[in-house]
Amino acid sequence: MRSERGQALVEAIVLGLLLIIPLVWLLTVLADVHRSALAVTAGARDAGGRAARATSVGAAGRAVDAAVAEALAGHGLDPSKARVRWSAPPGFRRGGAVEVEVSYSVPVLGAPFLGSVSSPSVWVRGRHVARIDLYRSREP
Amino acid sequence: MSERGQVTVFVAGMTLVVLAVVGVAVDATRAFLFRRTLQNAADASALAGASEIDRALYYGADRVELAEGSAVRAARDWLATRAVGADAAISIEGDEVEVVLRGSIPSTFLGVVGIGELTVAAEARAAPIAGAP
Repeated sequence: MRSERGQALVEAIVLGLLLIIPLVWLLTVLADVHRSALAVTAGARDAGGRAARATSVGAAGRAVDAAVAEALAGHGLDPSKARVRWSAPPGFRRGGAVEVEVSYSVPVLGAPFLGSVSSPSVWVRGRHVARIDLYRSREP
Repeated sequence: MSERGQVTVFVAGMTLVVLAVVGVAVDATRAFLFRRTLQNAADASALAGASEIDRALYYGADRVELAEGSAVRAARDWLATRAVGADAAISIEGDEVEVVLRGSIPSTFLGVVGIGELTVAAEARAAPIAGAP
């Protein structure tokens, strides 16, 4: 009878590599997507809150940019890759809605130490609507 | 007796376990992100409500108190702008506006074990205070 010694090891390596590597890759992509989703929701929330307390539309714009940059950098993401859209009512009317939407593209093909290649990506979005403060002092 | 193929069964079993973990992770992440969405909406709604103060009392007696009717209305109107897809309960508790949101999302993988949807809730309270922070 032919010896089967060592065959189990071969099976384990082949099957393990075929099945486990894609699963580990999937987990790392999920972790990236989760981290980015947390970052954009935090950025949108902070940006909306700060803009709602700003004294003018110009100050609100600066507050949005700063809040998004801080939130994304705090989550280890590159703020320059984010898309930020925000809107405020004409005249930055008290009680009006400031809406902020932050989007970030998460590449789904990446390799350790090499980074991502030009690849499909998943867009994650965070949106927040805040009410402009009714009583705070305003710039003339 | 030949043991050929036993490792295949073992690896297949392990793969099922790992897939189950991935599935739970995906659904837990979705539920967590949905809860954050609800929390953000609840916070914004409570803050919008808390900015409705009794102006006659404020300008007449320099006292800051919530105008309860308009506070609830403002909080509700604010939620309507978000369309977060959740049931809302808005009430006045003392001098605070309380907003509780409860919503569900369909599960992605947990449906396999009979959990068709995940229910999450978020609560926020806000009160008007005098003076600029």
